[in-house]
Amino acid sequence: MTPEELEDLVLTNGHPKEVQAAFWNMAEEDRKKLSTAAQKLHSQLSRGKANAGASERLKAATGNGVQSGWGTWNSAETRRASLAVFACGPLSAVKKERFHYDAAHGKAFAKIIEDRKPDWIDDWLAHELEQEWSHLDFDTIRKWIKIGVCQKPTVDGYYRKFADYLMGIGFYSWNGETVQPISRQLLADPDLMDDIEGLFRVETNAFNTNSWFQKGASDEWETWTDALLKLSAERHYSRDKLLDHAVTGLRADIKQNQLSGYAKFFKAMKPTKDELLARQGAIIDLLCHKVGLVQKFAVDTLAKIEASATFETGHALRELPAVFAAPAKGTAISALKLLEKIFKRSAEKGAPDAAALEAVIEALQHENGDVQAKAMALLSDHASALDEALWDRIEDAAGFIAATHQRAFAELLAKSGRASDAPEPAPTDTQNYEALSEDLLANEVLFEEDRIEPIATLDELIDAAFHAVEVVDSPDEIERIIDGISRLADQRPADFDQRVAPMLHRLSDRSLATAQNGLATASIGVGDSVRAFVQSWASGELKGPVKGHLKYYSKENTFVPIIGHLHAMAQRVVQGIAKQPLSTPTHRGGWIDPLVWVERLRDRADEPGALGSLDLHRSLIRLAPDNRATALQMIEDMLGNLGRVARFALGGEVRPAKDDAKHYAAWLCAARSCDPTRDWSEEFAVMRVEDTQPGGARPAHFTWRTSHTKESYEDMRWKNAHLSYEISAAESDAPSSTPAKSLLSFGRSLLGKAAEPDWKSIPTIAANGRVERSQFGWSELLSVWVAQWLFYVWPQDATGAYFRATSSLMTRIDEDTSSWSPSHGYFDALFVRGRPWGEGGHLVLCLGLIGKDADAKGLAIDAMIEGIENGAFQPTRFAQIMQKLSDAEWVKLNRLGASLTQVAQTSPLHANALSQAMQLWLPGFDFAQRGAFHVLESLSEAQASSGLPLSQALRDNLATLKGAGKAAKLAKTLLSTAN
Amino acid sequence: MGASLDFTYQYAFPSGVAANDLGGPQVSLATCNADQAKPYFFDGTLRKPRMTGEMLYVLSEVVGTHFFLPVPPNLDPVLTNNENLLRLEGFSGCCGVYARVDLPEGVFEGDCHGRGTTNVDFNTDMRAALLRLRDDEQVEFAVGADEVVLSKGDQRTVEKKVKLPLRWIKGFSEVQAYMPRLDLKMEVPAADALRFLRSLPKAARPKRPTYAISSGRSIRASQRETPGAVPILGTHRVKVIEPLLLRAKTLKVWADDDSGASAWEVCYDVGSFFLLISPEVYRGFSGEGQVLANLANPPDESVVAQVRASLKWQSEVDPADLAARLNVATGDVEGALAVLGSRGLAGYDAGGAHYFHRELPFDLGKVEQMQPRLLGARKLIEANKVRRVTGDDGSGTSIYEVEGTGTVHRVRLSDSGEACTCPWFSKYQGQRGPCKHILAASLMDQDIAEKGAMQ
Repeated sequence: MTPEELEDLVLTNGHPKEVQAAFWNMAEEDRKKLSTAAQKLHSQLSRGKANAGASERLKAATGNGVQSGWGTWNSAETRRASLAVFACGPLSAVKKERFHYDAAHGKAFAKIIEDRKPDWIDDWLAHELEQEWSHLDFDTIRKWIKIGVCQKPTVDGYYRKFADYLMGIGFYSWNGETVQPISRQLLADPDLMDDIEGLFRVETNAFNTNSWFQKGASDEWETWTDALLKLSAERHYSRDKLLDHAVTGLRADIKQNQLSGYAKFFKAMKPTKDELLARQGAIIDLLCHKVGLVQKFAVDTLAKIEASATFETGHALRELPAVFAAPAKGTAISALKLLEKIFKRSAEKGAPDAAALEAVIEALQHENGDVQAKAMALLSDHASALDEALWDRIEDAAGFIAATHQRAFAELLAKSGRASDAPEPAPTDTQNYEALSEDLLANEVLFEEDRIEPIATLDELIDAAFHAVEVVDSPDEIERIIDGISRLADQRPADFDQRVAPMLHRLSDRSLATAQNGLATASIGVGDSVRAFVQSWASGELKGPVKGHLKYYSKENTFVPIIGHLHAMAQRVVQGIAKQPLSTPTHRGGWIDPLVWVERLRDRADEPGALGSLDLHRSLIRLAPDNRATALQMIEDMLGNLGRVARFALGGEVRPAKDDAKHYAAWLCAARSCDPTRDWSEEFAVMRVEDTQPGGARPAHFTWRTSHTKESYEDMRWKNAHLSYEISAAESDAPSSTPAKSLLSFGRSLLGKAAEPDWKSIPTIAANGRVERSQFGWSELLSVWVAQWLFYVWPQDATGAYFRATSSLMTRIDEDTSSWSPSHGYFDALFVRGRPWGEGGHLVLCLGLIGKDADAKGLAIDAMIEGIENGAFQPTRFAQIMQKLSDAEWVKLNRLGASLTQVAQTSPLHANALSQAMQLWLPGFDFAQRGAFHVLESLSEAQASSGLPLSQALRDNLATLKGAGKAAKLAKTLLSTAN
Repeated sequence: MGASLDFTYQYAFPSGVAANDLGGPQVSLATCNADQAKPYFFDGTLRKPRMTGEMLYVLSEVVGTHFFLPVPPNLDPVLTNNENLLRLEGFSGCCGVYARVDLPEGVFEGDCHGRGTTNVDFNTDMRAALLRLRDDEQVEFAVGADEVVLSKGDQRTVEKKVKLPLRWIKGFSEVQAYMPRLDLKMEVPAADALRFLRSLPKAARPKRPTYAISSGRSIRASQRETPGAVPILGTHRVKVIEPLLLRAKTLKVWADDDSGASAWEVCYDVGSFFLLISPEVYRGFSGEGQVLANLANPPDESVVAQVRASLKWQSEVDPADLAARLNVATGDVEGALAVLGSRGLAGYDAGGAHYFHRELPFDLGKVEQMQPRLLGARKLIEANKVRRVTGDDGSGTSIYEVEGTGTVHRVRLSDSGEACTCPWFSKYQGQRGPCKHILAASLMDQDIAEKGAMQ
């Protein structure tokens, strides 16, 4: 055959067997002569592009690169060329080929190999079988082995094919023929029996217990376990061998499901005691396996033979401690029970075995308190047998003992006659927790370490802006950039355009943006407005939001005044007018030092329109409670309405008059600064403005409720948790000076009252507005820094932001951490020192503690720890909220318990605060709830470290717990300890 | 999969724990080098068998793990026999975790037959046996075997053909650039450290960094970045040391604040286990570019050569002493050691704050060529895409313009640090090494300075 004839053979649309026939009986020398041509042909066809010197026919067949891709790679011509490569190519060429033929090509392929008997077949088979998803048929391999074309492969892939093929996974019937039971197939081809050993060495599907394997199978279909049990029962295969294989398989360092399959197979064999004893050495060695289920298998198996006279006690005692280094509680308890039996037996002969005592001492280091308790009980029972060296080792374990068991540990050590080194709980009276006042203006919030350093130079501003385009580190950084741009807007050196050109390039082409948290990708809401502001400054041209308002995302009312403010500033910035904004925070958390604020304000004294500016309104509600008296003194001489508003905001005696209605927004923000939660409607009535919105003259009032609905699908049952809240304008305690709303609109025309103020210019109303949630769930709060910023718009009262956060947290309460929908941004506000959390903050805290999101949970735990240290945590609030949440019966108590235990372990003070909170919450708690013991574990930890007595109400509720469940046992321990 | 080198581990016998002539256990580590030599380094007994066995087991866990993909690598650790100190180092398959076991004299006693570095075979049976070593038995320990044993030929040889990813070799070298920058942040008792590790989430893992923070005299996990906090991304990577803390004395926690890499040193009365983790799970050390500055501005090659010639498998290299002997500046010796470290020819011990001699048993000639950013920088210069705008006029600052994709980037080189307007630098702020634009500007700056000096 010439290369041209080969090309003709491949390109002519014929049956694949024609290729096989063409090479049949061809000498190896002649094949080699065609090798290069076949490879070139195949290469050009598979990539869909002919070489420059290729024939016109080949060029046409490849489509000249137009049709490259799956179509050309998988075309009939390419397949025939591939067959030709196998018919005449060397190993290096066929290794590049994967077996991916249909039935006709597959038959031709098998025949070509049988005809040629290539010397590379073993190497190629080993290579092919080690590839993922090899389609080479096991039947073909078996045939080749039988007729001497190849050796039996030794690679793992061979055993995977062996396991799958005999099971017939997915193809239980083919053309009316059902798959024969495995045992029958093995008996029909006894050589395959030799391969059974490989199933216990290689990861295969043989012992997987996936239920879908059996779907569609005939009644006589067998699993490998069924088949091997049958073969051994009928003495076709050695039972001893199978047991040995299974134990050997368990030693392997392979996937857990595979190991589980071996363990199940071994159990299914129902080994006799003698059979177990014959393998006890290997089983004991399994105690050191790193996989928990193998350790459990070993402990459980040894428990069946430990009473035997030939049980290798010494060997077992030597390896048992390894079990206590692993986290599994059940296995560790089983191991201790095994040791207990060994103790009993050794006690019958005299003193307990020292090695057994040593093994128990290792259990003191186990991470689970129940294991530690059981180990202590065992050691206590055999204290008289402990020598000095063993007591030393027990003492060394002191640091590992859980707080709840320190008392028992001290009692154990007391039996040694030595003094205990275990830390005693600190006296309760010195660790008593006291929370801060919940008065929003009572606490200091300005700390030196929280001071925000303003951007000083244009270089610094450009660097900061470049970084923010890629990543926004925090809302404070955004505030610094906005402030810097506003103050340095008049600085445009000659090379300015060149310096910012890469930034504009980046901002103008969204396809370049990759970071989710940078301005380059901000396309909605306030993030988009900040991006437009930066772009306006850099380009010198006013830029607006790219997409404007989208119906696909939830509009956060809180940010609407900021968006307006940014646009107003941008108009000034593009004109190169520099100005110090009033609303730039001086400290972390959005706070403005009143001393700095009044200095800024002096520069605005003569500015027309200052009272109507969003900058002023935003600044008023950011004034910190600190330094107000001094600031008030500094501004006593300030003339005009601006001075009056400022003095009112800082707590001066000034009050609005009738003519101030035209500056209603400024007076309202000043009032909320003066007292964020007071009802100002009486003082404001004089301005004759209809104001019924929450956060206006009357403060916002939040009410929330929670419940669950039960859902099901087939066998699955689950609960959907719900939490909703309502916002209303709080009713005044005093007789209202404002008539009912229906009368208001009627009376307004008679009394000449102004219409409702525009909430878009009043940040306190915006911050308490309902959010128009989009059905698509897309929200600007998906950017972490935007979610964090939500709480700093009105730092004096973040209640609205907290409740807004609860909506987002609830949608992901049972979801893992997500990069796309992060929740952790909502917890940043809980770390603002001095600001009371209130009900909203405590609700966010609780949702974090009980949620699944690891990032949110971690921050909630940190917040609680820090909140206890700085007094923001209120035990009463926590108890009320947890009562309400747990009554709704959807709270996952295991998550809550784990979180609270971490808090309790931090220090005696934290334990004390938690104990106070839990003692307020738990008297009304339904301990019959699933997982209630997790809560009691936390309480035990808190009680052990705090030493607080249990309240009678809680004792009474604990006393209702009966039975032998975990919760009942814990309750009993708690009550007895308290006694 | 990225570029890789075909490499064959050829061991004369499988490493393992077998019964010796007296019936006690004999730990035998099989050795082999890149040139297929099989060095025989040590023969003696272990004084702390259980501790040694556990440390070697955890080392093998690191080497046999890819921490973010289910593809167990088939790579072996590297052993260096220095003066009175055996060091075993390993690098995870994902190239983000480096582990080192330091076995000083007190851990073993016996005869040293040679010094050097070698690969050592770690197989499944041996790993399992390591956990069964106990202190109450006489455990013999050998690294390699003498000719007599090898010539018996009664043991099967072991041949493992593997693909060594270039980034694995590169990362193995690059970790040495992090070591000198580590600061000791805290040292806590082993029991507290164990409690801390056990508190780290097992199933639902955080996506943000978890921080190890001081809490009284102890340590606890936090999700907040506070001063002194040590970041951990991929808490499961640190949890590998958990089993060691049951018998350890203390845990030292080290961190490099600039890069975010952290190190966890389990300290025993004698001996230690050192674990260095990269700043993020998906970021191996190879891509960090921490050595790029050294490679772009290396010390004089003659100094590097002199320092290299002075390395004689010391367990501790004193730069001042070496500088005096070579009659060069101490800073140049330190620079040369950093370069040698990046080439896999020296390691750094953060605890002792000194370099030690070890040569990775792989073909390391192409480490520098493996740095794509440096290659990119050189291409930019060759294509005339780098232009100096202003030179150092005494302010210590030079400005360069470097052509980027669709725009021209501005590079500032100054004594206080470099900056570039490209997205890479803007995002990482130098935390992941200099970008190719900065490297290109630095190379040109250096070239201009050298030409100026010659004139």
